[in-house]
Amino acid sequence: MFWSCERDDICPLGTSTTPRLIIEFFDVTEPETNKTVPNLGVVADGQEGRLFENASEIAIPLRTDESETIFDFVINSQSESGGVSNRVIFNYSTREVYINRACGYKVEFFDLQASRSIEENPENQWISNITVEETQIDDELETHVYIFH
Amino acid sequence: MNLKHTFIFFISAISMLNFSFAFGQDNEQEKDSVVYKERYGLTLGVDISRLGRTLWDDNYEGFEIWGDYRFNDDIYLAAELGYETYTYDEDNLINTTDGSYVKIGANYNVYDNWIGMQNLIYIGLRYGFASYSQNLEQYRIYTTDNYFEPDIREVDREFNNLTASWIELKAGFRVEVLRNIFIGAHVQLKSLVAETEISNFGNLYIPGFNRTYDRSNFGAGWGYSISYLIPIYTKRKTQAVGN
Repeated sequence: MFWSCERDDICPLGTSTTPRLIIEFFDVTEPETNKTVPNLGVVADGQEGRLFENASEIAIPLRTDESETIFDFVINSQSESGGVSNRVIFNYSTREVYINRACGYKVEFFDLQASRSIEENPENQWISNITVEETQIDDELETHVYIFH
Repeated sequence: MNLKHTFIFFISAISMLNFSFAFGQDNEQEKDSVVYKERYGLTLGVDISRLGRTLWDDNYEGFEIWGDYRFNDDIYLAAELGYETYTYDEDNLINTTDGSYVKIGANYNVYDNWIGMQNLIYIGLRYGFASYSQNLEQYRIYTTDNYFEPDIREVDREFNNLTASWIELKAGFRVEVLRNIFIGAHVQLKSLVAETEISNFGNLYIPGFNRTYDRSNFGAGWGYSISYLIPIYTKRKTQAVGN
């Protein structure tokens, strides 16, 4: 039954599918210069954490079934104190785009907005500012959000 | 290829029968030619591969009847009529196509029969037209990053009044196994001429055409058939005999 094992029933690697959010980190005192975040832990509401050891650029997925994704960004997450957590909220609209029979659909995001929590204790405010550079997320080639710290 | 062996067996068996028959007659004739009759008429058949697949493939249901009329020595005017329901059911997408189709065209018999035989090895050309609907039942938002739980959407999205047309090349054979009863097999190569464009989705399967391919207009198919020849008239043929 050769029709049950066709190759294009498998979504090929390298297909342009649902893009992740690309975030770049900058030095708040030198806004032109990248600044890495030591042991950045990223945790979405109700999900497990993901560790970026020494990154100045990260790619994280957004929820495709909601128009909001909330993350806790934890700096120095591997330290004994557990690091310092700031909350980052992304709001957006979604659009489903058909890829093909093997991959199904992908989601593209538009009207992206980003905000950060304001900490009661200013010492815990490690994220100084967050800006949206691209309101539309349809690939991973461009940086969508800048975070200054 | 059991069928190939069956085919060779029948061809041989029938050849032997006719061989002795022809020579038996020839001995009683003083002339240096043989007179025999060829049946002309309407052949009606069903595609048994579609019946078979309907039985063993839960995602498929289909039926096709066809007919051809012997126009002259070699040319048969032909048509097929059928319906198909097929569910594409894979991880990222489930879609059911449902519709009917018609094909019209002709077959050309390239086989030189032994005297009295009426088998065919033919090539054919068809124009096919299908009218169908698709129902997108479920899909997954595909992502290579599985951080969040899978986003599977169960929908019931109907795409109605879809049509498609195509040109089809056909090649096959047909062997008379009992008087006026034939079995046959064929393959098809097709090229889409037109199809209804669906916004943000695709035509995954077209009844009569078979599945589509994302990057080309080509398609392929095959089938087995059983058919019955309704003789309408016979033509007397004379063939010279050597020596």
